[in-house]
Amino acid sequence: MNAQTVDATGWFRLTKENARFVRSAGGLLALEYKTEDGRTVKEDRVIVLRSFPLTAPDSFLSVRRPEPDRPEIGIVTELQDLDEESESLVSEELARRYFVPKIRHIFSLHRKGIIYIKVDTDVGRRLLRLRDTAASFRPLDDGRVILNDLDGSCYEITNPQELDHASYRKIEIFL
Amino acid sequence: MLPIDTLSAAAEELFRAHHTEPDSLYAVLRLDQDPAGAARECFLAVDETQAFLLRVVPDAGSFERLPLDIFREPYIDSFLSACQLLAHRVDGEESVTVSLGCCTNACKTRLFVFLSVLESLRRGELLTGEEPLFDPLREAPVTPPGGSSVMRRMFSYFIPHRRFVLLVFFCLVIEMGADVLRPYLSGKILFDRIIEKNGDLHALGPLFLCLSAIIGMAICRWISIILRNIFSARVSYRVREKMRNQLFEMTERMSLSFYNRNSTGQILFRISRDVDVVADFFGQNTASLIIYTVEFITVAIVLFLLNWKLSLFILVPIPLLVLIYRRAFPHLRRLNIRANRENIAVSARISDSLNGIRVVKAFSKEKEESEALRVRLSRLYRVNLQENLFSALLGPSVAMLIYLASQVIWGLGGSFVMAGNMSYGDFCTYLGFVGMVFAPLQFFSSYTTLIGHTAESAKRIVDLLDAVPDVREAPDAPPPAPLRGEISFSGVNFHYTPNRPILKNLSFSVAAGEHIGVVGHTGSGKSTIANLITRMYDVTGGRILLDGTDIRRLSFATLRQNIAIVSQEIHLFIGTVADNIRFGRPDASMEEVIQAARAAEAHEFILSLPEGYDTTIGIGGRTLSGGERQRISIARALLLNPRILILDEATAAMDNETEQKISGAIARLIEGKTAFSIAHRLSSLRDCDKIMAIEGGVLREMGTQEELLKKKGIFYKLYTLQNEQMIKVMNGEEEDL
Repeated sequence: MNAQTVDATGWFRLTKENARFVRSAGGLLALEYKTEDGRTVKEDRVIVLRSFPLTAPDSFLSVRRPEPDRPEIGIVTELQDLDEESESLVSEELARRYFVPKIRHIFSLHRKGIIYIKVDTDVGRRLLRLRDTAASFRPLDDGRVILNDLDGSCYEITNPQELDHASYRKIEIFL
Repeated sequence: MLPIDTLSAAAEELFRAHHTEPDSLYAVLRLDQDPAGAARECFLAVDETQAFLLRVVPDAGSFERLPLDIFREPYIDSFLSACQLLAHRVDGEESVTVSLGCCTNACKTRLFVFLSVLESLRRGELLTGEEPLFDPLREAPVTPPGGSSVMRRMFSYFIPHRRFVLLVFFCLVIEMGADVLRPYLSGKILFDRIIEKNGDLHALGPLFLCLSAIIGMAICRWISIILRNIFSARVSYRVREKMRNQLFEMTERMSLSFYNRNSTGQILFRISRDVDVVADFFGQNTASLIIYTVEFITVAIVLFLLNWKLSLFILVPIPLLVLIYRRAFPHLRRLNIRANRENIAVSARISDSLNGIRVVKAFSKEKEESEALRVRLSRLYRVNLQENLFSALLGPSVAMLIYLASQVIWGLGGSFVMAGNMSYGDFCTYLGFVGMVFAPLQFFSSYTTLIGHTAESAKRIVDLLDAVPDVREAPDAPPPAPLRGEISFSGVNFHYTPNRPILKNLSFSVAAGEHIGVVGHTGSGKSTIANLITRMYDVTGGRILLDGTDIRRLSFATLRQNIAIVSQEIHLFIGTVADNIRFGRPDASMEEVIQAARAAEAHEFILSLPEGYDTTIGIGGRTLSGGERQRISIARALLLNPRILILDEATAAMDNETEQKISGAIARLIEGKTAFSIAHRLSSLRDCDKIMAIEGGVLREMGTQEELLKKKGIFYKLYTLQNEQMIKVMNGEEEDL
């Protein structure tokens, strides 16, 4: 392949020219790609990790084998570098892996050592437990606010201003 | 049925429709996503015969019956907020990975339990439902103690000082009495009883009596104010002392994870600023608040008795004032919380930068650091300004209202006196009291801001006092006792942050007195083993046994007395060399301290210091070299004479010559003890009985050096690599470098 697909650090770039994502026999994500020396390799199952899940969800997608230490096969610099079908398969896989419930309403917020917050999300009602610090509410540049709860789960408030007034008032002080 | 989940009514119906009795199922798991990841209920169940996996989506009416034995090696893939149960499906020769189900993290714990049930079935074990499926030591509910209101908790600090608090009240009552009597004396009595309407005096005697009563009262008031300030200062500083002690005690008790997420700046802020705010409020202002409230009510009653018609006009601004406060208070409070958060962020930023000052300087980032702080400070400025603008608006507006109301009363009262409806003395008294009815109102208004501040500070104090350490001592832990030193890990799992496992199913055991070397790459989990044995953190799965007892059942004292750690990171405290050696056993005699220092090969250099063992070491002990500090820390461990010793890269930062010096000290230290040496350099593992090789949190090899060298695994690779380098150096091949 040309010099652009593999750079000095040995990073292998997957594009529509050399790679195609397909559905595996088990319904999961599989990959066919051409190596530098022109061989065609088929990976029965791959996983895709985002390098910047919050700030650049569709850039620098790392494609890896599912083994325990997850060796990297290559990188998809931009999702749109892939052909349409691959793009939609990868998007689907990413959507599931990086699924984050979106908070739509806040029923109550109590501070008792930790913050107990009762919310309604797009996947149902939840009681979140957060550390009582401003760090539990992480504002992003695009206006989203990410909540990280004690169990390591992640929740999103897409736009705090668009919450109903009562909900907004409950979390206002943390923003 | 195993106690994991139960079926919903809709699912039960579907099971019956497919001729499966819901009660006969072996295990049921409820997932909150369907296999495609959409948000709807899905049930996974193992049937009565343990031969089939049933997958049911009630909303879609789907019911799948899959033979269990075609699925191999089921595993869970954990994502950000969701997880997926995967397995390899075997069709003849072919094996493909398939998804058995998805769920959000709400179902995660139970998903893991269900997986362990599937794994036990594959091993041919049947669970009866008697064994605890969920780890009982881990699942203990964490409920913060307390429950009474924050303010009541703060009040309780003053109860031990109730005598002084009562004295403060007594002084306030005197002040109030003086305040209430003065308008009477200087108004009604002076003008109506002593001075005639035409200005003549009845008699000089009563006049002097009245004036001296006024002066006497002023003196009483003056003395009682001084006394009150003295008493309240006494109480409030005592309370401060106690609160700080408790807060520091609590902070020290917190687990390491607490320090990973709270900056020193934040903690300092709570112990210093928040305590001041609360003590000031309760110590000096609450008494005034109560007295002012009483005063407000009595004066209002007196005013009505004096002249109810005039008093009606006082009532006019009051509802308005109440309305203003009710509206303004919540807003002010929110501004206040924000200001406090910004304040904490500023001090956290400063302490973060100062802690890393060496790095800052090395990258010449002084300017950028100042700039980053400037941004923070300007945010703080904006919030503070908002808060103050609001108060600035509120205060004068209220004063204006009060001023207008008093002017109306002046005018009306004047006309009452002119018309002869009211005596001049009554009017003077009345005016005196009017001032007193508005003064409490002004007091309340200026203190709304303070109440907001105090409530927020009190909240933070209570939060810290109520915080529950992640690592807790078992309430029924036996008293400290010496251990033999057997250690065994059984199926230990651990992560610092969820979704990032550090140790995976680690099992091994070490006999008492054995010396184990631990090797592995950076980040393989070696140091984590040390953290877990010392219970800096608790395992997230499995158990660690010391002499056959789960370490979570042992008292902290047992652990501290029996386990010592010498690590690469050495912290020497502010104090003398001797104090630092004595850290673990403050009662050790001078003789013992010297013996320990001699064994640690530290005696020589300590005596070369002009003040010997009495030399004070500065913050972090920067005046000593790395090797010297390490030897002091070894002496510290030697003095403790523990049964179990952990050397966590103890010599990693030292050159070969220093290591040589220290290795003698270390050999003496571990004699006859159970010891773990965690090291990169294999040379420091020469005397180990056994070697463990860890890779990616998994124990790959364990055995004697000879065994592992024969096995040609990880240890062999490391060994040959380091040997080759040695040989190269010996042959002078690297001289040109």
